Amino acid sequence: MGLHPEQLDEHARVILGSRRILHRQVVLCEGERSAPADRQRRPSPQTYRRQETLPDSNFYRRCVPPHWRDRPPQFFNCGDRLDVLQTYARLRQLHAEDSAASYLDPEKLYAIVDLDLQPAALEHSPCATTEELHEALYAQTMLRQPLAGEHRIWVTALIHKEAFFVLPSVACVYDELHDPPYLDGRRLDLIELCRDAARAIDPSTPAPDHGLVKHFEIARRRLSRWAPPVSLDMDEPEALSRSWLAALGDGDPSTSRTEALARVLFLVTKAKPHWKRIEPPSGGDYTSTADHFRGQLALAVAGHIASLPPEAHPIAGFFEHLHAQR
Amino acid sequence: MHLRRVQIPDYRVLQGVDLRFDAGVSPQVFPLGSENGGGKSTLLQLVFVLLHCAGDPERAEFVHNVMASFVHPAELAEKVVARFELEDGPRVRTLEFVSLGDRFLRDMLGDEAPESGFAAMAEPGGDAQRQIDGLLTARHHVLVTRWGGGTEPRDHRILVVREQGSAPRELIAFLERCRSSIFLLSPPSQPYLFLADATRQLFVSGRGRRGGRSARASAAELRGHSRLIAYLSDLERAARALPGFFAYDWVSVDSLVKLFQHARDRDFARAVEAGGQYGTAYVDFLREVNALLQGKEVRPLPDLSGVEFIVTNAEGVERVLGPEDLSRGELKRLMIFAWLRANATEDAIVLMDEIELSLHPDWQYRIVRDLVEWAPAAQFVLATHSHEVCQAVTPAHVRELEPRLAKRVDDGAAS
Repeated sequence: MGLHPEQLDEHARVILGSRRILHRQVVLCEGERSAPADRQRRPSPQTYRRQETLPDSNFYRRCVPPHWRDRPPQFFNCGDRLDVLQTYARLRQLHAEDSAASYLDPEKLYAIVDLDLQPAALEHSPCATTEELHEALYAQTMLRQPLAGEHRIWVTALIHKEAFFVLPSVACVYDELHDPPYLDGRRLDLIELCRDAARAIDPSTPAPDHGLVKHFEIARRRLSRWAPPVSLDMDEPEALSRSWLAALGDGDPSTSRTEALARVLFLVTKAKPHWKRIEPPSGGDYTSTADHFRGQLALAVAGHIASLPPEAHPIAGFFEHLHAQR
Repeated sequence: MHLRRVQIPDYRVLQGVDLRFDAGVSPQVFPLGSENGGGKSTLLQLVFVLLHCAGDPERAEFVHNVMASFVHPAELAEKVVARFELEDGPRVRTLEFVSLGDRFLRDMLGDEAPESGFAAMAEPGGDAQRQIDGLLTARHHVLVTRWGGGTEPRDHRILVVREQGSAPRELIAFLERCRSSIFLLSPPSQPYLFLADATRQLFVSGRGRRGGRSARASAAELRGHSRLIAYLSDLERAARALPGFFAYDWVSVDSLVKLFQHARDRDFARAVEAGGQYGTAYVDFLREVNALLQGKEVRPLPDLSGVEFIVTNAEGVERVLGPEDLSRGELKRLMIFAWLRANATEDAIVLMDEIELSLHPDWQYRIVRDLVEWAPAAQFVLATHSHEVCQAVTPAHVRELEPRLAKRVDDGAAS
């Protein structure tokens, strides 16, 4: 559900009139905008505390590498993927109409949206769709080097940004926490979560990924662009599910093969529903909501990404690109 | 040691406060918000003074000053000032700071209560004092300070601390650990509750006299300045007596210098051990400090009595700056870093008031990441009005002192 035209206008004008974007890169991202009542008030600890979930922009902001201290980008939550893309277009339009009423530098305007399964049409991009853009940006789920073309609208390397929170390689981040995450009453096992996601590809399972079943052709084309560590049977969803599970085998979490398989999986299957099953341990020392707990995990992962070299993680690569373009 | 819960039933503007600081929250950084006058600074100061001073007679005057703002009606035998749950290794301990009134003595000792009530404790070694000491020991209470006073016995009070199930000796040992595990970093520009009332009046009257344009107003302004100087001088004396207190807007590089001296000494010790091969502690620390500065380098003075900062222009010409020449934000960040490193803040409780002052919004956000990096095992409670500070953590990290028209209920996690 997108923003109404009036909401879109109001949102875009707020961004254009924000002095904090002066001489800065602006990154639009998905995520709930603050409640209407809070938008009328000065942002404060009190308004922040009332937010039910961690704003997505805070995740991306925390991914900014520590060496970037001078004029880091400014982030704005814009709603869903369509809202982000529409906000991007509207900002450029409003700025062109009256640049005197705008602190924006259109050359510094960026957006990052989830890849998702269904492609979205793009304006103001060298690519016509998110799917084309994904192919232009990434090879083997890592940022292409060098990058061809000038890209200000980006898509995530995996289906959702939440996919980066459930890859086996982030287990080391969760191990550091006082209260480790739980899934189905047991300590989170990311390999097991990946297995659940792979099983959900099969439409005969109790909770299948209907979107993947419906858009399997898109998934197949996307997968065929990569060279997975093993060959997967992509004839139909059941076969893909079976062959992925067979390829994983015991799934040693420490191997790069397991990580690569997980990345392949989350190129096409939804990560958000699995991420949302993760909870704090019952009886642990965390007493706030599961949403807030996941926000804490997301920030921990973001801190980890911020410490990685750009070639090791696509989001780290995105920020290295922004830093070079600033 | 970390705070897990703070309860303050009735102290100045703080009414029915109940804040929880869950162990499961990561990082252990808790922004604390409220409206102006909502009691953030009061809360930090009260927590700090009680935990930093209890059990040390040398610091009793600061508790005494804090208690001057506490209201304990004569008809109450006792009234709780504050209750703390503290994580001490595997244990969570509950300390209760309680004001005892004359009614307590009468209830406990009946007709044998000293005629002069708690005022009898002003005469050390007397029978009455021994009697009261015996009573406190029997009830496992540890005396913190006498307070109140006046001509009537009923006007005298004492503040004690107690923990269910702990004998006084064990409690005293725990208080000693508390004293070395809590810190308060705060700007000097406020009337601290732990200072004597007369000193706080100097601050209030000193600030109130500024801003005139006429010759008469200038004279008043000068008087105001001299009062502020007197206030700051008293504050500095208090800071010397309270090793856990640091006023971070002071242009002081003492902590930084101390760290350079320490690094030098470690290198020398290494050279003695390794037959002349010096260590790299000094060089490593120099590199670490320079990484904090933008476009500048720190250069300790040859005798390590201070530091200066060097800016080199495009032609390679150096310009020397003193600490006072740095921006206030830059200096503040550097001093917080040095102070945390120079003090034993591992696993400590660090209370910081108005952390955002002098910091650009980018740096307000960034300081949270810095704190966690500089003292990863410490717990931070940050009294703040800054949305930027909060954005570095989740909404569930933020604590709030809500304006109260009626009794305040639990303000713990935002569930």
